[in-house]
Amino acid sequence: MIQVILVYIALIISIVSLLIVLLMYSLIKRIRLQLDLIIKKDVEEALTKVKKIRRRYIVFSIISEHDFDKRELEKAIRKKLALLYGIISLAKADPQLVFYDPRLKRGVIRTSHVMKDYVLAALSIIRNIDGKQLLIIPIKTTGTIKKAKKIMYTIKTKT
Amino acid sequence: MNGYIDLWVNVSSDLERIAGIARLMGYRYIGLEDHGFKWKTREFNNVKFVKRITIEARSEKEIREKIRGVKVNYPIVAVKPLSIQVARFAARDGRADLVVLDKDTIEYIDKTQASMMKQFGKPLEVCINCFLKASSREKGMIFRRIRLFHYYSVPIVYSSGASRWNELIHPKSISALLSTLVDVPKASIIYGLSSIPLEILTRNNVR
Repeated sequence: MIQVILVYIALIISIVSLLIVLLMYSLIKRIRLQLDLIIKKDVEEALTKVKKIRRRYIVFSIISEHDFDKRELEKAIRKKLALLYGIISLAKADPQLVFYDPRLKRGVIRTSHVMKDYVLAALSIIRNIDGKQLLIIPIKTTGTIKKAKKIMYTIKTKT
Repeated sequence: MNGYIDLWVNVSSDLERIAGIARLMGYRYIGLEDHGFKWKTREFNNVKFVKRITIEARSEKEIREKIRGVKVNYPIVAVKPLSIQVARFAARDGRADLVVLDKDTIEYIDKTQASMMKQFGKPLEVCINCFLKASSREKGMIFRRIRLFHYYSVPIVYSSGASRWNELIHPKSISALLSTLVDVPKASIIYGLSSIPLEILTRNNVR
């Protein structure tokens, strides 16, 4: 009698263990499938996603006895940037003189957030334009043109 | 905040204008190369000018003669080594505050010099205008030296080396220029424009 009971118990244990193995197998399979999906999604995202270029506005001030117009200033900045970092960086930065007040001798340059430092570096090495000596001082970098204009007209930077 | 410090400006006149521009850029102290000034320190427009001397020497004997008693008249003493012996002497000697790195001295500033300067806590001075005026090959050599000294954790001081008013460089521009050209972290550049020079000035009782 005891032997029959033991056989039954052994049979039940073996069936339960078999069931557990099957359950675990299906669970692992499901987890693997989900992981694969996540990884695939991440890879696809990384491959397709291009970082958005945010604009930066650099407010600058000019110290010089001479007057300069907007076009020659922008040309000089582009020329120095190309000289310092090359044409590819110039294309990436694309510095545009969006605003210039000849009376105050202050202006705003628009560039991308990744190339901000390149433009700042190029500004520092402009020493003259057509033989006219000048010094460009970057005052502040902002994210909006509205704020840039506000800074341009409010900040006190008289020598 | 104490502001930025430019330890090397090489102008002889128009100091008030220079002070005005420097103030605008955020500088509080300027190391002015001696052009026969009778003062040691002088203040214009809230910018303090500190007299400095740059000693050029080719032999140990020459540097020993030139550096003798110089600390009495000049709060900042920089050495421009034109031989290895002078470079090593400048790294060891307590009277020299800085060792200048420019196109004339790049050959003598090497690994051994870096480890010696680290041992004696002597800062290296990098002149930005000298770097910009150098040829492409020299620029490459200066670039490698700056990287090496960063690797050895030697303190580096950045100065403009301006010889005209329009050669002064804004600290932000210096950090932008070096972080893009030389791949040096911005924080360490700012440190080299403010804290390290301030330590030198404090040590020499200028503040």
